[in-house]
Amino acid sequence: MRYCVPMRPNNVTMKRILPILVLALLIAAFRPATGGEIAAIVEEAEGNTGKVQLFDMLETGQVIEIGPGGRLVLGYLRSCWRETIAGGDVTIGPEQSSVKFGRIFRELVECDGGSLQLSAAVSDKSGAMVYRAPPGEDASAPPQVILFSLTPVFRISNDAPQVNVERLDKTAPPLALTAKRGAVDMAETGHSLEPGGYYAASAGGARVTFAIDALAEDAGGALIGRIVFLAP
Amino acid sequence: MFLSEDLSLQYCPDMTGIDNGDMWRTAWSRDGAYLYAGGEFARAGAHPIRRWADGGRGAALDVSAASAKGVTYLTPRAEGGVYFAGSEPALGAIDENHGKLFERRSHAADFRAMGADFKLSGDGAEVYFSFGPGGESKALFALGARAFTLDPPPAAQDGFTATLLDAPALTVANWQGSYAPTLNGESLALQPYERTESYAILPNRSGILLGTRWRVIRFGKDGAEMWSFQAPGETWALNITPDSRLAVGAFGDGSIRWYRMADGAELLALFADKDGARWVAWTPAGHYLASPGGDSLVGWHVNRGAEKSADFYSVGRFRETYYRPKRVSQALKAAEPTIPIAVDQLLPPVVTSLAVAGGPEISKPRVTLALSVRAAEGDTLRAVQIRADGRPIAMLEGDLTDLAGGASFDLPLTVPRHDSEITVVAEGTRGTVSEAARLRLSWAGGAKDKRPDLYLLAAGISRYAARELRLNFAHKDAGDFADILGLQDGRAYANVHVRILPDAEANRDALRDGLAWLAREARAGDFAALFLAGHGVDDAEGRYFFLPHDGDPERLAETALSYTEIKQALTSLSARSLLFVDTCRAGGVWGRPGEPSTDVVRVVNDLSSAENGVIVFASSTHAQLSVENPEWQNGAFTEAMLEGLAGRADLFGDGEVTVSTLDAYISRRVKKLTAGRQTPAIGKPVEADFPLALLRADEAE
Repeated sequence: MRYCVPMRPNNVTMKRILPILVLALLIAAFRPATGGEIAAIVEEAEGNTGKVQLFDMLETGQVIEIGPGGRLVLGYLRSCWRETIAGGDVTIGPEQSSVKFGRIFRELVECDGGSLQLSAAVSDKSGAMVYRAPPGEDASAPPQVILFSLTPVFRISNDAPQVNVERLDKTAPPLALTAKRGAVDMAETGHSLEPGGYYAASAGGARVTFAIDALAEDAGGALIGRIVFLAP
Repeated sequence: MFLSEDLSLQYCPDMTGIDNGDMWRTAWSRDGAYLYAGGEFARAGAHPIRRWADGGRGAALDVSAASAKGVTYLTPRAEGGVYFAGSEPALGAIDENHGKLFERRSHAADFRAMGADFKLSGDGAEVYFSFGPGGESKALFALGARAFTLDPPPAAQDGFTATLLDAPALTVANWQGSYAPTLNGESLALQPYERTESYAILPNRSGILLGTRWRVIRFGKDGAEMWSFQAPGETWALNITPDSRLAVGAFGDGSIRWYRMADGAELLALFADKDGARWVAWTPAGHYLASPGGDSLVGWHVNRGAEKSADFYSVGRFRETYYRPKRVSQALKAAEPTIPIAVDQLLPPVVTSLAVAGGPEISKPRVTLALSVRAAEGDTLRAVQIRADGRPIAMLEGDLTDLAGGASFDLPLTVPRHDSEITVVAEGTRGTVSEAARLRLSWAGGAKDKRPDLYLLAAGISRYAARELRLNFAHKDAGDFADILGLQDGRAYANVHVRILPDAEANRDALRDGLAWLAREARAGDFAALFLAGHGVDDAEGRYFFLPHDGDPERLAETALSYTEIKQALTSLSARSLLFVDTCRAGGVWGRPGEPSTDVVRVVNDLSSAENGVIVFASSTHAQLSVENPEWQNGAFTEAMLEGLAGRADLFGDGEVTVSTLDAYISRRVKKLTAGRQTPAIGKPVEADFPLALLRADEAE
């Protein structure tokens, strides 16, 4: 059992997190416009959705105007709500959006919502995100993020040419996956990972460990259930 | 079997064994291959439906169908077999293989065998009665205490009066089951075929009340009718208060109703489920008072015209407007003014169909839900909410005008990897919420979901800042409760995370921070629990507040944790949420001495509604106080919870303490610990059950 007490400054958790700030995965490249906290990622954008496009990171308080016929799919990184929004004015909240004059369908999908530290405070209000745990050095360390699809998506900096995926819990040939516009979607590359498998992905100088949930059965699926953020 | 052309006898179906009643109701199967019959014939406490093959010439096969009373109607099913109706009333279906598909029986109590058990207190506000086919169950309803007690101690009826059946100069004769009763030898005028079932003499000897199959009639001592009214069912029993001011009847629809003797105006009605656990009382103006779960027992039946099914809305749908326990408690003292009930302006939407594509047996968590929703006339839809086992999994919001007419639409969902219960509610734009449509899903896939984490915020305040508010064991209740659930770390839950706020640590800021902690940490699939022990206070408008350590009962809005905050916190979680509340402690500084300062039943019924989804365990109901005892060093509620979670609520010996077994255990145990002075109130938003504690570590595997 874990007895919890109200958070105090300088507690152990913060001490552990601070050293890994070097692993801030999305800093200036994904920096949102209004200086709030990163809350959601754009999974799909169709028609008139203003300046918003695929993989954009959205922050609390941000307002998006969706024009007639426009459609936006957002994934909330911490709450695991996935929203399909048709038309209207969308205001990004910490765990879900509010919509005026439009229609929203909100569904809870499988995702590792607790894996990301979303606070903007960690990097001078820059809206950076880090994984709560540092990458493990071996297969006995817990993964930084659990994915719920056999085909992860890796978000990397636009200038990184590829992502390398290695298996940590058993011997397997590594994968070198070519990136397109700052991302690799294994649903498009024709590769598939194994349920329960433990992996590490690296691009540029960043490395993130992840596991495929033992119950994952399908390829594709909600982006927030299968995305790995890699630092540039 | 007769030929329709000339009624000549063709053949006789095999009637072997039909020796104690008729089989008067018959039906053919759609294809004419089978003949079905049922009636008053009974065997082993049920009324079989017999099926003959070969159009009635072949072998006979019986299936036990109408469990309580005879079969009154049979009609063929398109798929084969028949639907049946019983006179209990009951409805059911027999499938094409002559197996019983289902039977829905009435919740109404049976007052037929009431006899001399129908007794009233002097003011008529307490009624003692029996129900059940043989009158074997006894019950006491006390309006002032808002309490329904099953099998009360014999002393509970001390001072009560039974129906006055004999008096000099008022002789009622030939009444039982008769169409021609007499008063002092003179016939009493009844309508044709109006059969007498009961009567009572006015204690002031000014006349009698006669109860028939469809009326209650007051006759003067000269036999002249003074007034009558349409009864809601057969009038099985009548009684009159000693001052001859009020009449009370027990009727065939399972209700007990109070009337003003002066003119026969109805003042109050009570319906108690025959399970003895739930009840609801209401006035003609529509105001009601209910036990936990009791507000689903009665409601509004709204016709929609010919060839359209009627809608039913339980009174709980109108809780904000019509839940008025104080008014109902006063109903016998002064009749409420007759005001038109405008529920037509409050009608919520109706979920008209609900199904999962491919059927309810699923092997993948991604499913497609097909549903349709109809808004009330003059309204449209605001939202459609979907929950799995009480926790939210999807919501459709915004401009839903194109769906409000009942058009079918699909929604993709991710549902749990275990047997689950899906509930759908629709919200109208007037703030109305529909009845829940429910769908059980059966998990046929491989691996099940992982064990959840439990997040528990436990606050208990004994040593309030204000000395006059101090209690004895509330702080210890919170600590002990956290400890017992802490033992489930690695058992029922992968991890147990506890935040305890005893005494001074349970100030308002800390409580709010604790609720934010639950919201922040508990994820979908986890359990989030809130335990509150201390003082609960209702403000002048009946709004509930939990009084923190630094709270001031005179300044609740500024210093206490409001129900709105608690509700917002618990209902917005994507985790499954539970509330344990023991706040009906004797205050002594507000309200009347010896009475609790809050009506926690409102909290239980609201939070545990399908749209809010919270499982609630409350220490007591309505006007009861929570009992503490130095011997236990706990409140009775917590004492019973600790016992139950430690293993005594493992009622089936399978190593599991579930919501239902804990409910059953503490309901009995608290009553026993407190000699009947305290009855816990439990509200469950879904029928699906799940474990709260496992007694052995290997149960978790």
